[in-house]
Amino acid sequence: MLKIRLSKHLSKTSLISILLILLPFLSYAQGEFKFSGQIIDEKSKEELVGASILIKELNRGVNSNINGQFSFEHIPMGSYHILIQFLGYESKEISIDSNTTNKYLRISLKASQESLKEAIFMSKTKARTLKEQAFPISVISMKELRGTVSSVQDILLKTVGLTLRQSGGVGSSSRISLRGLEGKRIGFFIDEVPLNEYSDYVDINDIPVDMIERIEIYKGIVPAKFGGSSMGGAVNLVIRKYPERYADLSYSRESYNVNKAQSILKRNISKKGILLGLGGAYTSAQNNYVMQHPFLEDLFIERKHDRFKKAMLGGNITLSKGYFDEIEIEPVYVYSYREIQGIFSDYRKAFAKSNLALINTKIVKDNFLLSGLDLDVNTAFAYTKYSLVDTARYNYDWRGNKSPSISPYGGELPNRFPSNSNNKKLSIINKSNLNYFINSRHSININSFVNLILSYPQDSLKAKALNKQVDFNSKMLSWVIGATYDFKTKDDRFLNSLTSRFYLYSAHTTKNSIYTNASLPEDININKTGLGISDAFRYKFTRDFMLKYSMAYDLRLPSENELLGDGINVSASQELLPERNLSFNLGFLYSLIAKHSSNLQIELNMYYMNITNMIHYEAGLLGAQYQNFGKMRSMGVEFEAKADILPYLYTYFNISYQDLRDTRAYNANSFIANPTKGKRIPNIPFLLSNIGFELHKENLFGGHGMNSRLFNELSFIEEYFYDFEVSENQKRRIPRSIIYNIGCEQSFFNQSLFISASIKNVTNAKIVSELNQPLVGRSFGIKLRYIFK
Amino acid sequence: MKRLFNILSISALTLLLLSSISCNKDDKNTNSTTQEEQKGELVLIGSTVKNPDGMSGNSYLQLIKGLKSSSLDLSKSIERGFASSINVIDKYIYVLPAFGNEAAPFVRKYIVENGSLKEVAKLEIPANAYTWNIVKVDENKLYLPLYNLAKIFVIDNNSFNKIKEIDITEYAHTDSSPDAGYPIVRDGKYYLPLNQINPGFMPYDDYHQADVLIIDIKSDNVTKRISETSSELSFPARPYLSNTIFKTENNDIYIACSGAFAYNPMYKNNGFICIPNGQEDFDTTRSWDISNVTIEGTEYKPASIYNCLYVGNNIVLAYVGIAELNGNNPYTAKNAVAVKIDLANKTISKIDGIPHTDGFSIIIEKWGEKVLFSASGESASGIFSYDLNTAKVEQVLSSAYNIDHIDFLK
Repeated sequence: MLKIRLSKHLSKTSLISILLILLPFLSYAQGEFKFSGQIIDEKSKEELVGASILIKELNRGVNSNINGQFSFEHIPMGSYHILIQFLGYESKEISIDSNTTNKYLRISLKASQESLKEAIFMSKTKARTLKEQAFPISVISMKELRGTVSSVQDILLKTVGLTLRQSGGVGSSSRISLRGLEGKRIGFFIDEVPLNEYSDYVDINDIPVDMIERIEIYKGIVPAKFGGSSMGGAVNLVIRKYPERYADLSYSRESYNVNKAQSILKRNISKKGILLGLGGAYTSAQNNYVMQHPFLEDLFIERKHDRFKKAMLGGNITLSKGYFDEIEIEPVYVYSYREIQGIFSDYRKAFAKSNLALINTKIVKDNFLLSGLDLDVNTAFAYTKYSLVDTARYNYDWRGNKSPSISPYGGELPNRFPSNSNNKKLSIINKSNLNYFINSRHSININSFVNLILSYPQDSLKAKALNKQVDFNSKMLSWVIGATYDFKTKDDRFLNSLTSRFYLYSAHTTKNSIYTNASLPEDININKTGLGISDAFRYKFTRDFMLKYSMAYDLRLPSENELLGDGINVSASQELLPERNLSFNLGFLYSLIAKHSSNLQIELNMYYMNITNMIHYEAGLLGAQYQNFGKMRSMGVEFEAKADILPYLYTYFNISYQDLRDTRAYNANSFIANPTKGKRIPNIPFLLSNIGFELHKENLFGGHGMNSRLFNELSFIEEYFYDFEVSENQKRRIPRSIIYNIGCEQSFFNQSLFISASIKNVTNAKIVSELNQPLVGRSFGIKLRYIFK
Repeated sequence: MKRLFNILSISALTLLLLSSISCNKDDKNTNSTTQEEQKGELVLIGSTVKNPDGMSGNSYLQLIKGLKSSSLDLSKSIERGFASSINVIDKYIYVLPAFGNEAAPFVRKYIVENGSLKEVAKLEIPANAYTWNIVKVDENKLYLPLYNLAKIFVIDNNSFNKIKEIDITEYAHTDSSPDAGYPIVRDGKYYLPLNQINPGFMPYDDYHQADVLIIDIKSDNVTKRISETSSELSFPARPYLSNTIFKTENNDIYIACSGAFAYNPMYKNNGFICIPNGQEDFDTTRSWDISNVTIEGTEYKPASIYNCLYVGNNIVLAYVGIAELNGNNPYTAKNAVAVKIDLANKTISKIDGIPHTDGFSIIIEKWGEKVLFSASGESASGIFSYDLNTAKVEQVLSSAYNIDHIDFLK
């Protein structure tokens, strides 16, 4: 063992860093060896993820990773018996000797005729299994996530039919837009738990990329087991399940003072059936890029009030010995701070901060009460606190002109009142799933999702400025029950999934009239129900070629803000109905993954959606309210192809065309023909495309245990209009954008150490959001990551 | 952040009061063109198209030759900013920024050249200024009040540059801006009504009165503030509607007070106040609260004046807001009714034939011996003419868009 003399001047942090880097260089003790390998399916040659490999004599075991690979180190010299097991496959035992020259073992397992239930779902990679479901879905696996320096948005931007509507740099709000639908219509889930209502605390970009196993993008219809109400699609981030003994540390630095650090530690005490985990992530960003004023061409502004900080800390205790197969307890704490950057005015003080404390519990029991009946129940308790602080006494414009805030109590945001809120919420979420395998061809799933939110808003400064109370306590309850029946033929050619859903939501609060301070507050009570149904089937013409078809008649429940208003300018809307969507999707998938060296995959999807009762902000002469008025029709086609053209070259291409049109027959409250009927819905892109390739080579620079990757990507969005296109002279449009990104990754010591670098927007193209907010130009990033295995 | 986005959008939209500003007060004359001439005249039309989200959209401006009873086509129009105000002064057309803090901060000046609009100058104004009107006060100067910033820009009429500012912060009630309404010029003085609104864009509950500043045009100084406190009328002269403040044949100034726009059931006061000729104060004996006057031909009483036009002989044509027509949905309700108001006899009668409209399509403009009303009714929408002599109403232009400006250019 190398000894390191401690220097007085070395800080602890420096010491730990040195140890981390030097650790792999510690020489093997005399009389030790190592070996590694890969577990594959005997017939298809596809890698098997999560297979168990045990050295019987030492009682030491590991699981195969996403590529089916495993490794053992520091094995005392000698001979051993290795036992390989994987659900749905026959176990295998092989021998290994320290004298063996080839220490890389490629072990194939044969599918078992027993335990068919597991074989149906477990004998393939999870990603491939998902792809073969009847739902239209894109899956981005960990393999594609690796090497990404930055964030989830960088990955999502490459997905066909999906864009991320950003408003600024790191930490700015972002909204997923899928096939033209966005905001609350698209579900956002982490491990199948819906999080749309918590968007003030958790953003899709907050989840460190290295924590993600895969990203599932459901288009058109969303499986009932997810709970909640989404329409048009959903994005589900699946968090990694780590091997037994694991530590992962990473740090990245990007342009504009963006720093991200992350650590994950896992320890499995398998004899006692206890798995412990601890993880944390910290992000800080200055976001001080220079933007051009949207209207004043001579004005270039450095964003000096756009700081962002986020800290996440989480733990995990999983117990696997007991009546329940798994009991998991997961405490999480998230803190964020975000300054509000002005675009059209120079905000100097306004900011928002939030705290989230959450405990998530999960219990899993297979064969619960009955053989074939699987139960999993997820319950989370969350306490959140959100503050918007806007108390500046003076307002500034970009020319340096200063004026007093309109209200004597301050405020620089475009209201006529200040804010110093302290909004608390207590939420209870319960998601329960009962899955019953009748036999290898039939199964039933019952899902219940309950979300109770108790809100305690408070802003005494705002109330003082308005001279009335506008924030009142409220209670919102939503309950969605789904039932799914899955049927597949014996030869797995045909799979059908039929789902029905029942929705219930209720809201109770008190509101003042928005027009006068003199009237008494009135109670608001809302109770609504609804039904939805969807069906999806998949038919395999051949082993490699399948057709997918789905239809859905579902709804989106109104959000809290839409139902209850804000008490200032937006009234409550007690009669607000859910939005309705009738959608159809037809797709074709040709896949040679794990069947041909090219791993070619080609997919074509066509869809149609008709949305009615669209919830729409209706402004009157004074005041406004969300109302059901709006009809939209959307049609589109998406094409995607990806393949390993050469053993060292992977490439992908996708293109989507989405056509969303206004289908309202009449103007509001009248029989006057709607003049915009048939026109393209404004502010939604209609033509998007991505192309990229990745070069990868093992030991490019010689040596062993190293891997090099080089990425090139191009994203294209055709220009589109802000408004309905009624004039030939219309100039208000979001310009065409072509963004080119490059990146590279070098790994060492069999993917224990990673160094990545990237340049985003290489050509420094000017990009604006759909609200004319300037986005970041060219930026650089570098990342260092170490995994202890 | 999403909640913040909603707050910003909602605030900008709450200031959405579509403009209908016609000729500068001093240039206004009674148009006596014949019908034949009217068919060939150049008409400036403004329209607004809202986006499906209801929070955004765009407004357009175009020139058409004469008013024909056909449908308005926007394909040749130009963009001018969502719900921006328009002023025509002499041969120039001034387009002010769109409402909201995300507008391009320019006042743009156009002329008509070869039948189309050509931009000849622009003036940058501060962000968040919220400008609603620009008025020529003498041959050399224009005044441009900044609603949110409590000042008036004095602009050189030739160079179109700002030469001075008049600060009116001290006249604000409770907050830092008195919220300048639409002004009028008389005898070398600029009379500027003050809306004095609260954060909800309504009159303060403790301030039901009408203030007016009197500014000496030569010196650009505020000489006095006058207040009408006897009638509890408030919100004098809507800031983008030039006809809500007018002079009679006697050179008396009358100001229409909108109050709470028919939305506050506990405050429906609305009507007219008067600054007689030769005086610089209100004659409260001529103040008239019309909220208790039944409209002949209906069972309703006005709860607000949305817009009006003085046509002479103490007759005012107006759109009044009727609270009973708000129904369950004041945001889209067609609660504005066209009426004829007799200031001398203190009577109000309904003008039959003009559809009830919403609060956005409320243009009233003189057109020879007729008066034009824009209306967005339940089954008819566009521009309607009312004959002052025969009281006959007919539709002269059809449009499914909100028409928010009409002007006749020579």
